[in-house]
Amino acid sequence: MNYLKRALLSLTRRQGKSLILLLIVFILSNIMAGSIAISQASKNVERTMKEQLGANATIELDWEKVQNWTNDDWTNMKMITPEDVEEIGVLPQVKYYDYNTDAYLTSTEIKNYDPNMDYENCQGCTPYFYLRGIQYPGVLDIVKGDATLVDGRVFTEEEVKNGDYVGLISDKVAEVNNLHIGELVPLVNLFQMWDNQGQMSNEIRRDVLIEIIGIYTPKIVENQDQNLKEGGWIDYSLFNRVYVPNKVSLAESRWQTEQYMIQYPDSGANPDQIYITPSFVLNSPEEVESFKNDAKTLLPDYYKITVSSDAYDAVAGPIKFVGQLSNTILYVAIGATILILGLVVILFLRDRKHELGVYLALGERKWKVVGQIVIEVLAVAFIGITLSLFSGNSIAEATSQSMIDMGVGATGTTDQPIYYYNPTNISQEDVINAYAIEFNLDYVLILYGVGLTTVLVSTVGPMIYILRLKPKKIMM
Amino acid sequence: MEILTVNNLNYFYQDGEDIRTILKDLNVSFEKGKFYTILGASGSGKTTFLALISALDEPKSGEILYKGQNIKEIGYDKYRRNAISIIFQSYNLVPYMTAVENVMIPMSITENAIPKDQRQVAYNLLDYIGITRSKADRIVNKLSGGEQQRVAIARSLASNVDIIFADEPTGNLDESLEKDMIEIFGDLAHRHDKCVIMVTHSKEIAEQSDISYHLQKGSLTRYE
Repeated sequence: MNYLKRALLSLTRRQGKSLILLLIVFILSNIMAGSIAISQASKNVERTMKEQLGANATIELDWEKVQNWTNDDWTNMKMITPEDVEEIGVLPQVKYYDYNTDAYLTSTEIKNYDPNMDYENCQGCTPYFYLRGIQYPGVLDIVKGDATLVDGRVFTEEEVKNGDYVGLISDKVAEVNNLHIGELVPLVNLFQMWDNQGQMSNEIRRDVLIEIIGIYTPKIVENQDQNLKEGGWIDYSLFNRVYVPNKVSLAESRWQTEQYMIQYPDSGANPDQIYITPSFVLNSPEEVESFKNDAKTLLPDYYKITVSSDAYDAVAGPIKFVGQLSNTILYVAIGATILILGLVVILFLRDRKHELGVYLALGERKWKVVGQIVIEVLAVAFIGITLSLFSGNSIAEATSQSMIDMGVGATGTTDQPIYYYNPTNISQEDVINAYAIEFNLDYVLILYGVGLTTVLVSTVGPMIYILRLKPKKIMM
Repeated sequence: MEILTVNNLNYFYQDGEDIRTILKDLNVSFEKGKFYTILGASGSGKTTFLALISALDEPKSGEILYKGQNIKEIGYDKYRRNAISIIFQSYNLVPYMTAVENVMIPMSITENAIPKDQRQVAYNLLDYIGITRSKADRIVNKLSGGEQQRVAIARSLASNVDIIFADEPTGNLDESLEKDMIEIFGDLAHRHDKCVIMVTHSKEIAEQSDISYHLQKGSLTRYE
């Protein structure tokens, strides 16, 4: 009749008390199960959404910090340089990195792609193209999946290094202009001057010829919002992007600045000042926070790191509210379980004082007496938790929607239709639709882990009670 | 052969400045194969003496030797596990277990050699003290007081120890049952070579033991 058998006998012969204990554990672990299921669901949404959004980062001015800047502050502001980007690019969290420069061009010989515009019948309208300068020969947008190479090739290191006038155009631009690999894209760098009446007084032109080495198609995320089909508009600029080496876009940009300086000598414009847009692809979304922390130390404090997954944080208020609420409920349930179960077990042990005294008087080791009680409680708890696995999951499903509604009420809705084309566009509705209570291994393991650990902690009080027992006082 | 020796045993209760002496420089020894009684009036300290020699309490000074070794050095729990058994006035059985299950409890606690078929040994012990097989399988709460005390005696034999202590074991029993019990205790000492030490306030029982001591004013004297 060792302590394990004694525990089993106690459970089966003292059925009333075992059932009371089971009922208490069942009720409390239902609350824990529901909270864990809801918390898991909100974490899953976050993980899934952030994986979809990818781990892409860039550096931006922190507008909150510069809003009260003086002119001197702006003059002395340190610009992000290619060296800064390279220093951040070698951080361990970074998989690929690049920096881009832009220049805006037009054309008199070819059309851009914009079904909303009728250039032939539009007086004074010019088709626009913009050069997207790259430093990473493989083109980061293609690596990230924001664009797909459908014909030709990407750049060679030599072309990027030399600043060759070669580039990639979109399939739509190639189609509307019947352009092919190896042909030249005739573009115009145009500087226009305007008089005081707002009339164009003069324009200076510079012809730019780009040899097509590749054709890409931009990734289109179909917006599920019905409103898009009912009158929303799409930004077609991504189709009119021409990828070129940075040196090409910088040269065209510099030419424009030089023309501006000629026209306005006192403007203070500086053609050597380069505006670059850094771009980093991280190893995984899990490394975003550590990357932010590491990269921040390498930048002036008025810059901030923006990652693609920040979009989730902007629209996930209700789900985060639900996650936080469920965590709070879980902590309260854990506390209540420890308190209630601890007191109930001590109460039951007081009835069994003589039994415990017998074991101690017979010379039983105290840890075995404690072990018997702990096993009894854990066995009941295991059954209670197992039953609550299913009912707790159902409770979570039943209460989730009202909690999300509460979350929408508490955090406000941002569920306005977003009508522009954006590969990382997500709405509050997308996030809420992705929310689902699941019955999976993680949920089961966490519930057993949290539940049994909580029950184990609740036996600390009873353990102390047993360890303080004096058999002489009980028995004689 | 001396199996238990008590040397200069002292015990007192302290309540602030007040010190109430219970046992004072007590010396006595006990042998195997004999049935002892400790006689004394209520409050004389006989239960305290039993608690000390059964290691349920610790003396203020003095020593208790089991086979020549101080029980403190042996370890109180180990001493209780392997050297002694205690029979209490109020039986102290585990209420949700059957008689045979109660008897089996010490078998898994003691480190003494116990036959492998513990259940059968428990049945045999119960049979020896007069509990039939059908009663042995009953929950102890369903047994009479006398039967419960017999189960407690069987339990004290289950761990195969040398010394059996009994704290007024017949206090709740009628005269005929008391007589049976005393016969059993005598039998345990004489036929099974146990050292049986019983605390009682009954002179009749004391007269039936081999050796009787009288505890009075903290001192132990031979009672003839």
